Amino acid sequence: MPIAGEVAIIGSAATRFGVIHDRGYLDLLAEAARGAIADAQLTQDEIEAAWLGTAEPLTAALLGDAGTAVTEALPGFAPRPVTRVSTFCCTGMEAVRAAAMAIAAGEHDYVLAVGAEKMRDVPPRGSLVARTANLTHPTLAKGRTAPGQFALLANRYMHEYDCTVEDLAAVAVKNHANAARNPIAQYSDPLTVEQVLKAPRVAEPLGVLDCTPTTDGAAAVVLTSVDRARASGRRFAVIEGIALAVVDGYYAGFYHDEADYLGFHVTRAAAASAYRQAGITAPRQQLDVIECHDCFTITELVNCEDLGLCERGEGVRLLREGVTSAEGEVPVNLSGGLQACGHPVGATGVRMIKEIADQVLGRADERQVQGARRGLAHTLGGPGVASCVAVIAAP
Amino acid sequence: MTARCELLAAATILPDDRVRTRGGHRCAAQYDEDAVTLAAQAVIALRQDRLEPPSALIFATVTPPYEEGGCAQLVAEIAGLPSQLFTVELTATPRDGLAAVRLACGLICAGGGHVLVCASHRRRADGEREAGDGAVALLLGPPGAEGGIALLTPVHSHAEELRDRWRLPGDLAPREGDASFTDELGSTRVARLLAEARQAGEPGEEAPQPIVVASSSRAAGRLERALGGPGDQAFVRTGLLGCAHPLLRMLLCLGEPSLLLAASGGLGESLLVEPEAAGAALAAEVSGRVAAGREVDAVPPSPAALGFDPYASGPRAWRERGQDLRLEGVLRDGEILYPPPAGLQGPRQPLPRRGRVITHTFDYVYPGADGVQMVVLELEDGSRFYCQVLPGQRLQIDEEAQLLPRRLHEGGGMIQYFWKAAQCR
Repeated sequence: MPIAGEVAIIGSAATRFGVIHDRGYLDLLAEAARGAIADAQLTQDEIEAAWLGTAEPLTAALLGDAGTAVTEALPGFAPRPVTRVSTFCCTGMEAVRAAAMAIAAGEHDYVLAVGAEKMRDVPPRGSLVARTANLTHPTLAKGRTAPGQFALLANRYMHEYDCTVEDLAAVAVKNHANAARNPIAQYSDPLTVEQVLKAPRVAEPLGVLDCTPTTDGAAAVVLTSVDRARASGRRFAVIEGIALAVVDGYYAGFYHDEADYLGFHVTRAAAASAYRQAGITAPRQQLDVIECHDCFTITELVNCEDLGLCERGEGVRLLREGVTSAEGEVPVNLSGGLQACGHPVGATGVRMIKEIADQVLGRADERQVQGARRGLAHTLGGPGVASCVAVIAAP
Repeated sequence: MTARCELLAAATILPDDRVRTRGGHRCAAQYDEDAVTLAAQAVIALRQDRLEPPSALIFATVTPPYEEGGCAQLVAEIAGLPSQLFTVELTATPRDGLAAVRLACGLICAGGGHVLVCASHRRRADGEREAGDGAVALLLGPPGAEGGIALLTPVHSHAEELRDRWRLPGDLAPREGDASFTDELGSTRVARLLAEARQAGEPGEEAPQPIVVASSSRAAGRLERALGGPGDQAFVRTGLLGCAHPLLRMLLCLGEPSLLLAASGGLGESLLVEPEAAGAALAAEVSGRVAAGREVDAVPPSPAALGFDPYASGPRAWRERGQDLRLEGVLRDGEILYPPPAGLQGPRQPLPRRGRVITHTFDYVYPGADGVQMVVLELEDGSRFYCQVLPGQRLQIDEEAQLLPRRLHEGGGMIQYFWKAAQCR
């Protein structure tokens, strides 16, 4: 049977996101996993398999480079199967997708998908920046950093469309304001446009406050079939559609003729697949709330376009008109997004799934969108080479 | 039979930046340039695609980036030369620029077709007081070949154990002998012996203008003036360009016949240069390049490499030499796919080397640098290219740009060469 409409989210949990010096990778993983299992009103013994999303084990001394991290964090779980998945920033959501496939296939009754990342045992520059600079292709990608990659879009976008650095800053301002209502967010203080523009420069035109921080954190969900969830009488959310798309190459992506540096066709491909599964034909009208991958301020603008909320080039207008604000027609990143929640890479996609599940279950506390029935979570991986889109709805 | 050859084409690479010295200026390369990149650019500038591919490449430099392991093959790869190529490197003294021409004449005389000679110099330390950075490339063919610019005839050689300038392993700057010894008995004396040998050997013939290149520019200048030569006008604009300097002086003097005398320590070489009609135009063009450039206080030093330990792999570098050094993609349905997709067979085709900027960023967090500008270019065939920009330059969207070979880093103890974007000048 397909995943779409057949797999239920029955439990979820997330740790605080931030710089967490007093907790290790396994501590975070265990907290999220146990929290999700408890939220599902299950015991660990009832979970039959797990999928672990960790993208960068080398930032945590190789912890998380295999599924054994889960059995280490959850004593007694072994010898049940645990599979580690890694797809850049789509890692967490891909763990959920893989776990959902096992449910859809009928292989297991209850499974766990957990994402965890410990990035701040080293300084920010020693984290992904150094790894990218040192370990990418010796010539083809030398000079590349994650901010630098997305700054290429920002400059092209501002050249092509009516968009300014103030517009980019407004994304950070919006998402930081949203994070004030999210107790797990790394940053919860409000920002002003002026503060964003005066922040130290990272990769022109992006400054520090245009960029997601590097973060420690973990999140987990427990999945079962919709039939089993319904029979149990538990509250649950339904995965109506979930899709991953990738481009034909990592370094090659820089050199593709079709790359217009105004958006990501990989997101458009993933969204098209997820929408087809979920029967969505008018995303702006059919989606009540969205968590999208705002790793940099420019990314949220192009994501809104790539996800079909507006035509290409109109993402700024959507922002300026407040369509994506907390009170708007389609609130985007009510959690604070990666901008303010932080971005523990493997955990982010799982946290997004949890956030949207909480919204459609009506348990998003101060962030709750009244009457939310269907939402979307989206991650974008690497330099725009992978994208995962999930549509989650109330049953 | 006297081995001689025809000069068919020539190119010079002289960095725009000129740093003031006690005697004038010197050409100053950026930190990402070395003797290989300078020589490769000179070979590329010969526009070899319009000429018969050479059968041999002779590379002369006293500042090879690899002390052992070879550099000529790098020049050949970057310049896109065929792999069926005889290469040889001459790295002993600046005289080797002229020795390379003698060797080329021998190869051509033996039926070797066309031969490329390139010579370059890249200062390694401030101790090289008189030196500048630059490169010269020559395409040489059989005497009488169509389109010839000058007939080149090696005349005399000299070898004796005498050192006025040398390096021991690990020396950044050359050691120099006593100045009076060098002036009286060193390379200048050897140059004088070569001049006298020529005069003694060809009585009655109209004497060509003497051109002297030796270890001491001052002593060489005195000898050249004493012999009736024009004096080294290039030195005050470029500095001494090592092995490239005798060749640069040869090109500058193509307006009339000359006898080129190059000596380093006890090693000497002389070459008779008999220009054709096209010689004067080439000399004027090279003179313009020598005179060009802009005065700068200093070129930026190589940025500190803190936290930068990049990955490198010898097998990878070999497998991908086509894409990295030659900038080759695979041709499919009229389109060049770059980098070549794994397993895709098809003819290899070099990317265009010019394009315009699609987008850019200046990245402050890339380790080991004070910031690096990255650009995406749309090349002339419509394909994309992503790379760094030359240090000190800033490119804007829609600006025309060219690709130049530069060294990126030395990860794993291997020098990684790739292409950077630069303003079109």
